[in-house]
Amino acid sequence: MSELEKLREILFAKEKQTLENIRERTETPSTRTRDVAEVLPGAIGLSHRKDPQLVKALREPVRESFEYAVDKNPRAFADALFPVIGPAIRKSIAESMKALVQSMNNTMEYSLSPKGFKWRIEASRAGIPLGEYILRKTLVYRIEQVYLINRERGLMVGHVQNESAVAQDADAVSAMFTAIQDFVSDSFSPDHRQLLETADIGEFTVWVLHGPYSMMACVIRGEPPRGVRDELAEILERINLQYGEALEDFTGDSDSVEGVEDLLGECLLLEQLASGEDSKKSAISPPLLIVLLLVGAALAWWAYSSFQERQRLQAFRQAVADTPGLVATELASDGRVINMRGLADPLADDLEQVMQRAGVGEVAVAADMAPFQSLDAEIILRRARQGLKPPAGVEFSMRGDTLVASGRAGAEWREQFLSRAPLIAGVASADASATFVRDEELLRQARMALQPPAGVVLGVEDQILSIAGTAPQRWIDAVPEGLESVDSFADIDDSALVPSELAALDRIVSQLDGRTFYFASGASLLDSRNTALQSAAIQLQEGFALAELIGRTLDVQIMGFADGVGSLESNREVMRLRAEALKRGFVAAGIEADRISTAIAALPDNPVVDESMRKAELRLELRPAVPTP
Amino acid sequence: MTRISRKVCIIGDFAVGKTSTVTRFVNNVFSEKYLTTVGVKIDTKDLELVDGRSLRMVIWDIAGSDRFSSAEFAYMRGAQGYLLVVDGTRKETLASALALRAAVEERYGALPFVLLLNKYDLVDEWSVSDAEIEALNKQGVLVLCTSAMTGKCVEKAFRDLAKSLTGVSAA
Ligand SMILES: Nc1nc2c(ncn2[C@@H]2O[C@H](COP(=O)(O)OP(=O)(O)OP(=O)(O)O)[C@@H](O)[C@H]2O)c(=O)[nH]1
Ligand SMILES: [Mg+2]
Repeated sequence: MSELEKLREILFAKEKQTLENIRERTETPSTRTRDVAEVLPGAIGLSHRKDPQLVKALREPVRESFEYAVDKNPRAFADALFPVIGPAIRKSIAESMKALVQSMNNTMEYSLSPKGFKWRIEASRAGIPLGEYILRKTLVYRIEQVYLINRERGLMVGHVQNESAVAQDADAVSAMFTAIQDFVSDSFSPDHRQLLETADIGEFTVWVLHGPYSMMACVIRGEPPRGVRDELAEILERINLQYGEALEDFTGDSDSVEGVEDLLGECLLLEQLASGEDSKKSAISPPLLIVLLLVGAALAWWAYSSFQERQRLQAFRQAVADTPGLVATELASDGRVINMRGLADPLADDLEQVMQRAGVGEVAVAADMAPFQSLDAEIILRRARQGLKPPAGVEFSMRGDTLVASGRAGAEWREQFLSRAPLIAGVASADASATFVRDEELLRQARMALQPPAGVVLGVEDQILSIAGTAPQRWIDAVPEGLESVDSFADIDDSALVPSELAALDRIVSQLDGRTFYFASGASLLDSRNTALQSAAIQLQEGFALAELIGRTLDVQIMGFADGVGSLESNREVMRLRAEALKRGFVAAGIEADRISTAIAALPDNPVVDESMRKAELRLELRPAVPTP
Repeated sequence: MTRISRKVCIIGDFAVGKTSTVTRFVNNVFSEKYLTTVGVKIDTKDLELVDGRSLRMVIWDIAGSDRFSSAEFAYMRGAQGYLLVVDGTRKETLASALALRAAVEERYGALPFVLLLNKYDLVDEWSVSDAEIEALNKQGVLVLCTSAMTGKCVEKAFRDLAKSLTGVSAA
C-alpha cells in the first residue's frame, strides 16, 4: 500500500465505503429489484400523471398477459366475470327488447279491434307500454317453487315455495334435478358441458339457471314470459355475489348460507308481483269494475231514455197531429222538455188532454202557440155549439161546409139557427130540415103510440101535440111514457084533457049535493027501507071510489033541520037527532061512518014554524087532493 | 336451526340389494320382488345426531354394475360418503365392489364408506369367508354383514356412515 494509498485511506475511507455500497447496489440484481420495487408504484403513478407515454407502453404487454391468463384458466375468469357479465348482457338485451316493444306499439297503434282497444286502456292504466302489456297479457304464469342447488353434490342450498305449492322433499328433488342434469349432459351433450335449462312437465315449466357453483331451478306454472328469466338471473347473480364462497364450498351445512332463502324468496315475490299484476289486469279491479258498471248503466240508461224520449216525442207528435185545432210547426225534445211551436184554436183540447191521449205521462211541454181559427170539422162543430146553444136533443154535424142540425127543435130556435149558423167561421150554409117531422107524420106516430080511447081527440100543429077530451086517469098517466117512442114535439098541449073519473064524480056531486030527506013532525026516525036513501048511498059509494082514483077528496056532510015548534033547545036536539038518523041510515046502507060528518042548521032568533023544515040534507064538496105528508 | 345435509351414494353390482337396503332404511319395508334400478333413485332420511342437530341423508341409489360408466361417475360426483354393497351369496360381487371403490377413489379421492355384505339371512349360500372379511378389516375397511330382508345392521350401516360424515354419532 503506497503512502498515497494510505493517505487516501485516511482521507476517504468513509466515502470509499459509500461508493462501494453504491456499486454493489447498482450491480447486484437482487438489490436492484428490491430498490426498484420500492419506487416502482410511485414512479408509475408519477409517470402516468406526467404524460400518457406509460399507458401506451404498457398496453401491449398487459393485453398479452391477460390473453395468456385467460387462455390458461378460462374457468376462473368466467367465474369472476359471472356477476358482471350477466347484467351487462341483460342490459343490452333489454335495450333491443325495448326497440321491439316500440315497434309493436306502432303496429298496435292501428289495430282497432275491441281487444286491442281494451288492452290499450288497461296498459295506459298500468302505465306500461302497450307492447309490453300485450306480452304480459298473453303469458300468464306463476312461480311455484325455487330450488337453489349446489351443483357439485346436488345438495339443496335453499328452497322456497308458494303457499299453494305442494310440499315436497326439497332435498330429494334437488338431488333429482342434479341427477337429471347430469344425465342430460352425459347423454345429449358431446362435450358433457351443455346444461339443461328448461324442462316442461305437464302444466309446469322448470327453468334452470346456472351460476358458477350452483343452479337455481324454478318450477313455474303456466307460460312465463322470457323476460322473467332475466329477473331470475339477476337474483341468482345477487346470491352469487353475496354467497359466492359459501356456495363454492357448500358441504350441506345451512349455516354457511344463512339468509339465502330470503333472497330466493324474491323470486316468488317477483312472481307474485308479476302474476298479481297480471291477474289484476285479466280480472278487472273492483274500482274499475264499479266505474265500468256505472258507465255501462249510464249508457244503458242513456240509450233507454233517448229511445224513450224519441218514443215519447213521436207519440206526442202523433197526438198533436190527431188533435183537431192544433198545428205543430216545430216539435223537439231536449231530453227533459218537449218544445213546441205552432197554432192552436182556442177551442182545441188543452195540452194536458193531448198528453194524456199520447200516453206520455209526466213530461214537461213548453208550448208557444199562436191562436187561430181552425176549419177542422170538430172545431167548427164546437164553435157552432158554443154560438148557437142548441136545445137538448139537437145534434150538430158537418156535411161538407154545411152545418146540419138534427133532433127536436122549436120553430123559433130553428129560425135563429138558420139565420145565424152561416155567420160561424167554417160554416157556409145551414140545414135544419132534420129538426122537424111533418105534422101528419107526428100525429100518426102519436096515435100509434098512445092508442087514445073514445072521447080523446089528438091533433098536431106546428109540431105541437094537443090532446083533448076525457080519458081515464090511467091513460092520461101513461101519455108521457107513450110519447117517448115518438119523434120529438115542439110542445104538448093537454089543457083540454080531462080525466073521465072526474067528470063522473062531478055528476054524482051535482046530483047528490042538497038531496033532502024529510021527517015526520017531531020525529027523528027514518024508514030504513027508504029507496031514495038506498040509491043515494050507492052513488056516494061510487063517488068515494072515483075520488080515490083521481086523488081527490069527497067531503060529505049531513045537516039536520027543525020546524021551529017548541023551545030552542028541543029544536036543536031534533036537528041533531035527524042528522044522526040520516047518517045511521047511510051507514046501514054500507057507507063507512067516518066518511060522513053531521051538523045542525042555524036557528033564527024568532023562529017561524015551517013544516018544510022537518028534514035533513046531504052536502057534498069535492076538494083537491090533500098532499100526503 | 342448523340444517345439515349430506350426499351419500349406494353402489355395488346389480341385484346385490342396494335398493332393498335403502328401502329398508328409509321405509322399513322389504320386497322379494326384483325391480332393477335404472339410472339413479333418490331418497332422503333424517337422523338425529347426539349434539342435537339433525342430519338429512340424501341417498343416491345408483343402478348396479361391475364397472362405472360416465353417467354413474357423474352421479357419484360430490358424494360425501358411500355404501359399498356386496351380495354375500355371490362372491364375484365383492370383486366388482372393490373395483368400483378403486375407480371412485381414483376419480374423486378417498371418501368415507362402509362395505355391506348383504343377504346375510341366506347363510346356507354364504360365500364370503371370514378370512376375506378379516383382510378387509385390516385395510381399515368397515365391513358389516347386513340383511335388507331382516333389517340386520342396515340402520347401523347408515349410522356408521353418518358418523364418518359429520364426526358426530347418530343419537
Ligand atoms: N334374501 C334376501 N334377498 C334380498 C336381500 N336384499 C335384496 N334381496 C333381493 O335381491 C333382489 C335384488 O334386490 P335389489 O334391492 O333390487 O338389488 P339392487 O342392488 O338394487 O339391484 P339393481 O338396482 O339392479 O342394481 C331382490 O329380489 C331382493 O328381494 C337380502 O338381504 N336377503
Ligand atoms: Mg336397485
